[in-house]
Amino acid sequence: MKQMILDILKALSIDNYIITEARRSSAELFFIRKKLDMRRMKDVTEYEVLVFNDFEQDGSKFRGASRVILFPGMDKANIEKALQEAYNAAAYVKNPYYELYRGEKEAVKEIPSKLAEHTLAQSAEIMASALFAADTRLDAWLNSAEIFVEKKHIAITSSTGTDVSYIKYGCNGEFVAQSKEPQDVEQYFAFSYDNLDTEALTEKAVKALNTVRDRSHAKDCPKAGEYDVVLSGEHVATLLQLYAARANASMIYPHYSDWSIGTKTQGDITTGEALNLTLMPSAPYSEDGIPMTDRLLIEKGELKCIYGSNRYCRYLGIEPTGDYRRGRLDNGTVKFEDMKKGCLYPVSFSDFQMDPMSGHFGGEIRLAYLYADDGVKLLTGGSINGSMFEKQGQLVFSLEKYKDASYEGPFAVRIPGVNVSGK
Amino acid sequence: MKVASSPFLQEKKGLLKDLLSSILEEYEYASILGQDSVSKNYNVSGRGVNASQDSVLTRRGFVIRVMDDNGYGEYSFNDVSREQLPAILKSIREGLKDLSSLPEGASFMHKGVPADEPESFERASEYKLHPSELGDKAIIGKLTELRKKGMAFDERIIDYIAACSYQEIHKLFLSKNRDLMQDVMWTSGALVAIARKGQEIKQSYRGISSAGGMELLDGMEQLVERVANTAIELLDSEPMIPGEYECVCDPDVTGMIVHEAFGHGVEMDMFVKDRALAKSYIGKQVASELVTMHDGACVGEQTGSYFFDDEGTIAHNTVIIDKGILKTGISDIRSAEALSTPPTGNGRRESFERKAYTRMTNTFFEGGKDSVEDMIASIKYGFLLEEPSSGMEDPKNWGIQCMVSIAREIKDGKLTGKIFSPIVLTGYVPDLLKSISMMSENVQLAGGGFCGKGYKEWVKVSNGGPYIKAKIRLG
Repeated sequence: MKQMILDILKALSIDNYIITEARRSSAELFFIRKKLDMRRMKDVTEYEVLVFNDFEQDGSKFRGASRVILFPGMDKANIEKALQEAYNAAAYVKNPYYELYRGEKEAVKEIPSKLAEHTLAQSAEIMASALFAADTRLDAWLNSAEIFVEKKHIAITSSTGTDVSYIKYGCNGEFVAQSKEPQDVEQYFAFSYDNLDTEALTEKAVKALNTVRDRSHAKDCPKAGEYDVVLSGEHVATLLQLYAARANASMIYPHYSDWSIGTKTQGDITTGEALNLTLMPSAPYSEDGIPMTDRLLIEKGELKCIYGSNRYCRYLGIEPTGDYRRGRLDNGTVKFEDMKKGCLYPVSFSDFQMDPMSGHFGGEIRLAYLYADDGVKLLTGGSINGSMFEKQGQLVFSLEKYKDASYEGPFAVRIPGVNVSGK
Repeated sequence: MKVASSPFLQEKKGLLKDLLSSILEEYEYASILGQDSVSKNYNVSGRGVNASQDSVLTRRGFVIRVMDDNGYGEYSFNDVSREQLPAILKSIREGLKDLSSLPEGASFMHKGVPADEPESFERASEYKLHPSELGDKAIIGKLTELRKKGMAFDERIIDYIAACSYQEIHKLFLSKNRDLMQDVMWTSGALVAIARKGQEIKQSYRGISSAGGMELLDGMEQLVERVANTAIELLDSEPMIPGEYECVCDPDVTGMIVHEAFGHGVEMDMFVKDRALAKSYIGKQVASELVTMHDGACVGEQTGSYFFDDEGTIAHNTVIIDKGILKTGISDIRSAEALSTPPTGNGRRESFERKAYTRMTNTFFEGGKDSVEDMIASIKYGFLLEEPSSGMEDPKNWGIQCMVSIAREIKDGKLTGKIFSPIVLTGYVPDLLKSISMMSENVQLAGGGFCGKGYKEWVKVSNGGPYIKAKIRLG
């Protein structure tokens, strides 16, 4: 079908385009307790075609673009109509002209993964076994679980020479842990791996069951006031989204962010650590077909790189890098055990959020540990609410490490003087 | 005008019926859902102009559901021809067998064969102006004009985004006794003003939506200055002092409370999993007697409207709370089976590629008898809450987490002009719902955004209600 699309683009005199062919297969298992409620399989293919239309108005050059999705089985007439309509729409998309990324033909890159050594169904069963291996306690158990094992074959072809493709496997899903005594409570957990990471999944489930058991015993809401707060794991990654977002060319171009190379991203660093953040690719090529490699984003708190899609990088006159959704933080000076002393440590929220525009972070607490002089208290309810712009010079990170599909780096961060609502 | 049917689904219908007959020779139950949806997004902002099909919502393909000795299984695919039918049958047969190897200690969940009462129809929703009739040039031109007005409002506005999108959805459902087709169009528009003070960026958002066409663009003009003004007001907002306050919620905030705080908790697939506290409150008081709550794809012409759900159940109007008493939840076909209750037409998929879950449609509180002015006048110290930004459900414990952008201070029955932002609403759902003491007459629904199940499975819904007065913990 791709050849038919290329032939039609040529016949329609559409000279500039990017075609992304995506073939996705999956095996999916859905459990309620330890009963298999549903089995699912998927085999789908689609073609996303971005067509460009160059035009001039009042002496200025513009390059409009419009995306259309094509499906297997579409006949020549339907494809021709869809591409022509997209090309016509692009004539009204009055965006300043920019150069398209010029790539080359490359061999298929298969991202190494042990998931490739099994069928998708076998991998799904292996990951299900790893998950339920943790489900051995009487005081806490897995309420339900969903496991998705997926194989993606992505091929990107452009009018400017790019002809690249890659095969990527992944396993992701979610599970809910439950404990009924003394209180009937549950906690939601998500996971995502590029490999057959059975040990990590079992460990995550074990920790999840510990957490939900503790939540079952938590009755009191924190007293309202200011606390030194410790956040860990995925919440550290969420907090760092501020820096990834503000360094993105698509944020800088419309002046949402005023960062430039050399910007002191944390303002005045007072009692905290200067950040060392590196962007890491989650696929070999970006959506524009740009080969992606590790890029140092922030060193000692100073911005070293602006990154983004081809269009916005071109607008800023910088090297196009592609968009990144994964990062590594090389920080950490304090042992986690020492960091927690005197702190409120929320381990679970209803939904912890970081708004890169306003700099605010917050969420409702489902379980927190308060490390007071007279011992550890289990707390639930209330919320934390703070501004990273006020706190970012005072962040201290743990020596202990954490890794998931979007972040690797210190397990925990301590933030002083965070506003906590409660009783 | 009625939305025209999909030539693609019409063309494939005979083939799919033959496929279904072959499957039914091997399986006790089988159904096929066909989907042909096109969605296009338009937006004009400082980032540039966009007029592109939505790569998530533009979908064409099929899902076959069967029941074998091990329970339910599904196969999603999007390439079908008469020559491929044997290969599709083989994929179902062998794929489900491969997926029947269980972890140690696990077993299969057996359920009864779903009811399959005979039904056959083809229905379509109405619109006044089809997006293709208005055309890309006019749509982009209108959005450009709205943005220009917004940018001109105040020099502190660094960007003003004008956006709209439509989704034309065609679905076909076939089972042994059912032959259903529907053609529906949903449209939504949004205005976002972005203002900046130092490093901090504040934004104000308003959206409108309908089950209709691009006639919706006419309603956006009147919102332009209001959105711009709110963004400017937010620049001088202060952080909230945590505490419990008397609050008036505008219909958008009411909608978020309806949806996040209570709606997710009555999705009955959560009952089956023992994940919803509401299960043990059927027949009991959960809200003030002023509160009557509905969910239904056949009530309100909004972005949760359709004629049948993704499991072939006809759309309902379900009264969930009647004068404060919890009457029932909403369900997909499989949770209804497990609970021995009738399905309510709430079995929805993100697309043919995803599993069906119990999902909301158009969810709202009925209106009351109070005026908004009287509601504000009745508060000694509290807040008028506007512009919900996000929320997260907690069906098991009925905890609330809703984020709101604006709390306007009320002192001695009057708005002082002071604004607090951002705000986290927390608390226990029945406490909040039982504290509702006043409700305005007019009900407004909005469906600009998407609803997730946890952090995935995004579907369009609408929610809303009247202005309500309640005691709420803010942080």
